[in-house]
Amino acid sequence: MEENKNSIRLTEHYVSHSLFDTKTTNILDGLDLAYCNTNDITDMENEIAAQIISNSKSKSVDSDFEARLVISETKFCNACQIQFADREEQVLHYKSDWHRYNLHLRVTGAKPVTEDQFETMSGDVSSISGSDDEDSDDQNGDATDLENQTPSLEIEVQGLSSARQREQQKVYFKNENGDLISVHRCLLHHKKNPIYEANELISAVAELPKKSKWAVLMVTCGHFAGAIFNGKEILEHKTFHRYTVRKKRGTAQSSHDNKGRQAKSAGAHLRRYNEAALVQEVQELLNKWQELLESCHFVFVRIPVANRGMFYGGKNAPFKKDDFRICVIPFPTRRPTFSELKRVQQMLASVECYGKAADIGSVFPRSPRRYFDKKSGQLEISRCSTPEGEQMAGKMKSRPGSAKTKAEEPSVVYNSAVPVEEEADDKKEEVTVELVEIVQEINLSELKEFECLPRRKRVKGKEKDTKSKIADFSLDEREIRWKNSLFTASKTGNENIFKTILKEMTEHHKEVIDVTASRENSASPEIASLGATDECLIHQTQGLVNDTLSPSQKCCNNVVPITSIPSETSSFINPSNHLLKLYMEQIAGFLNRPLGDGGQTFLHVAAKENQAQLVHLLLEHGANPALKDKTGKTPYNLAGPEARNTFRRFMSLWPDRYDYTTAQIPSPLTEEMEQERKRKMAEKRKAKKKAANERNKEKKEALLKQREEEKEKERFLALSDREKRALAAEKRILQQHDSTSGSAKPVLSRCWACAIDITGKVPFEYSDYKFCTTKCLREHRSKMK
Amino acid sequence: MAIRAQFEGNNEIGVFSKLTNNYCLVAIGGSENFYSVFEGELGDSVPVVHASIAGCRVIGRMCVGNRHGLLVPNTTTDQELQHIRNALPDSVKIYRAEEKLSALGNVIACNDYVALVHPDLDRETEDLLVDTLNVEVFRHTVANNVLVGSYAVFSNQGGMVPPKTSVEDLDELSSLLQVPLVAGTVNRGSDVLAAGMVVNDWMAVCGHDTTSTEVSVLESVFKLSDHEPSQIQTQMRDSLVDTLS
Repeated sequence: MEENKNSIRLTEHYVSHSLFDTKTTNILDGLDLAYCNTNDITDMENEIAAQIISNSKSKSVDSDFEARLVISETKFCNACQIQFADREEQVLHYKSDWHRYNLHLRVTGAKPVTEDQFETMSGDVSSISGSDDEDSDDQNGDATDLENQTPSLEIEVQGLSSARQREQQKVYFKNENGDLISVHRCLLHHKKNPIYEANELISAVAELPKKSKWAVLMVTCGHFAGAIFNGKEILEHKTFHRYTVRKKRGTAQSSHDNKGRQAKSAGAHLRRYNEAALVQEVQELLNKWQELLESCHFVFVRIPVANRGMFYGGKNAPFKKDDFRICVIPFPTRRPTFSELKRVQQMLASVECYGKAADIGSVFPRSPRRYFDKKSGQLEISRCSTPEGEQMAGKMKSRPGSAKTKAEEPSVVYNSAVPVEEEADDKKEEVTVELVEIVQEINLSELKEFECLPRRKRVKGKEKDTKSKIADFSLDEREIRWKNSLFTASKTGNENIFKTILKEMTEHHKEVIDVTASRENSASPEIASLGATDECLIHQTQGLVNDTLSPSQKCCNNVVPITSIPSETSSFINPSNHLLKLYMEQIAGFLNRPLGDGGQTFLHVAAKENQAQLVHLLLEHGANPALKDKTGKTPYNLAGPEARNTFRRFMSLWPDRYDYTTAQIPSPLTEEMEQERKRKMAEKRKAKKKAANERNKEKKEALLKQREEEKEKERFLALSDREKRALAAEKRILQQHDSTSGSAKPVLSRCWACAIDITGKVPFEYSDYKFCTTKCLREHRSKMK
Repeated sequence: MAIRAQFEGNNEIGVFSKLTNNYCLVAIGGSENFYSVFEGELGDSVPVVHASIAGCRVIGRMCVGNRHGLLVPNTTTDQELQHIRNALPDSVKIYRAEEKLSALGNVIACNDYVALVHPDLDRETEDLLVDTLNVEVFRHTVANNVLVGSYAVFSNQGGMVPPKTSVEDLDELSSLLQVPLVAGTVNRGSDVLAAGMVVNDWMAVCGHDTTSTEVSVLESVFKLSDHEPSQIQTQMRDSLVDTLS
């Protein structure tokens, strides 16, 4: 939190100037390195010096390596700065707490304490060994004491480590006016050619406004954008796009290919080709710009490692790898577009001013987010001070009336060099669009397969309500008996039981209601007439159930309010309707009560057992098919084919009685539909039968043919060789005759019995007589006998 | 003799193995190549035990030992302990150390006579070290680093410390440990020496990346080279020449 506040405070005085403004030169007068980066520079120097020393040392180690392979005789502890007389003393010392304490100090970089100092510090604490860590109360106490002795130590160490973490991307300076300003480090020196000397850095900054010719080139994902700037004007610019990266999958085709086997799809070929084409196009373009590029002072590039070849590879590579002008863009960039190029150039060319250096002190200054305004073509400070992405900042701005951004809006001093923007900005704020919010609720409950939990809880609560409403007889033994017998009835499909139980129930309710009604209005004639005929009542129930559910039950059972009553039932509705309704309500309420933990109703049970008749009865008496069990199944879901049809039939009879969409009953099934369906089925069956018959016939024929053929074969085999030959000769003659004349065939052999022509056919024969059929043969034989 | 090896493409040999004069532990699940480096060089004289400690393969960093004994962290399971016990010679004492700094290999460096330990090691563990490994224990740092077990490696013959160690510290450590020390690296410049190599009195195994210069340095400091001039050649040469001539 503290830090956040700090950053807001800092941005209040934040101004950014372009390097190429004439005013900027004033800012760059009388520069001096700021405190913020003195740390890392001196540290770097120290490090280099240390490296040099250690290098020289290691060299000397190498040279007289053999000489050094001896056991040293120096009995001296460097941590405690103490000389030992003999080995025993030395060994003892390394076990002492004083030594341990000094080791700790040494690791943190502090000066060691003498033995006396240590004695006074540790006082009466006998040992501060590691094993005493559990009882660390008093130990912590003296540890803090010891830390207080070296207050500067920790800060120093922190500074060092933070500086070492990475080289800062910006270099901070103090100018004549005492303002803290920063310039991107990559403008001052190449990373391979570091400058540490303060005066060199300052002179590099002074030269910057003269080095105004920059090239910015960006390549990613088949996009290329390049531009050459001279100060604020654009000399050349060009963007390309080629399809090289597969959507969603990412990674260039070439890098995918390099992983192993190459994809052979058309898309892969396309991408491969496009990649090569992009490289060629870019290289051609850069060669065209060759002269301009040569004269550039800086070349800022953003290119993935895999694509480096585009710039540095090949015979006529546009750039050399060791070119000190080339620098990687030191902050994240977005898709290479022309406006992104401009943004990058302006970001890099900005000299950021953070206000008075004295105010900021040694705190690391933070610059606010800036985004590129395409209209004005200038960088603007994002009004959102929270450290979010620049993109986000841009989006936030386009949302007028966002309370959060307004609340946190700091007073930002705009760049004096671009006063126009301020106005434009104000205008933007004035133009607010009024949005009308319309809340529309769409009920999708029937699409739900499962009830969600909180809803179910609510339903439960209401069930309890209804239960408490009828609590006076919920524990009734009679009710339990009803319940059990109704359950068996719905399970076994026994209509008689169902009907008798229903009758009992009606009578019971009638009694109850009669009693109450007579108590309320003893003179009511309707009740008397009603009490007269049970039969009539039961008859009426069937017609009236549709109208019987009370509002509370309606809402608890998801039943749609009934709008129209079927015409045939309307005749039954007499003035005593409301009482009948009451009975029906009671019965329906009883039927709709869930049985046991599964949340199933009688309808569920009957449907599951595929008891179509009972399902119909239950539906007639007000059992609601829209009720779901604990697993979210409606009775229709559980039902077998017969029961399903019953549901649909009922739906066609009473299209408005229940909420069929919630019950998940798809469509009504009318009588006509059923008949139509039956007819169709019958037709189908007929057709099927016919087809089967035909198939059988064909089969039989085929079989017959085959048999005949086989018999023929057998007969042929039974002939003697001479006869076979004769037969063959006959056939030959027939064939010859066929091919030559084609007219009447010569009769070579005839049946002995009926004289039919059997030329070329295998005859039936006995003792040299030949016949056309076995019948002829048999006749002939009988005659002979 | 210094050998280069790799454990599943990893050069940190000291992480996956523990070598002493009496036994050798190697991590389970390595390639046969890796095991054969040890088995081939150590032969039948020294058992090569395939082990895991606390279900980890980084056994070299978890345990500490010399020819007298072996200390394993308290996270070691009974099964593992039993397996190691069965495989090691009977003369080797094995104990579980109840130590907060449980990666014992990182906080203790030792040979058969002395041990260099982390300044914050438990007194109990120190006593256990004395009893089990028969060593003199010194609390010290190496190159301002408390993880002496990771950075320093020494056998009875000599030792190596990271290159950042100052000459004074080198002298001090050498006199303390009573072995000659040099500053050096393994695995192409890694200063985490004990993680990069294992050594006993006659062999050393380092990572594949170790350069020949590094190998020659460690061969000379650990006195592993086969062509080490014998005493006959160095000290007795003159007198021999005199008598023979």
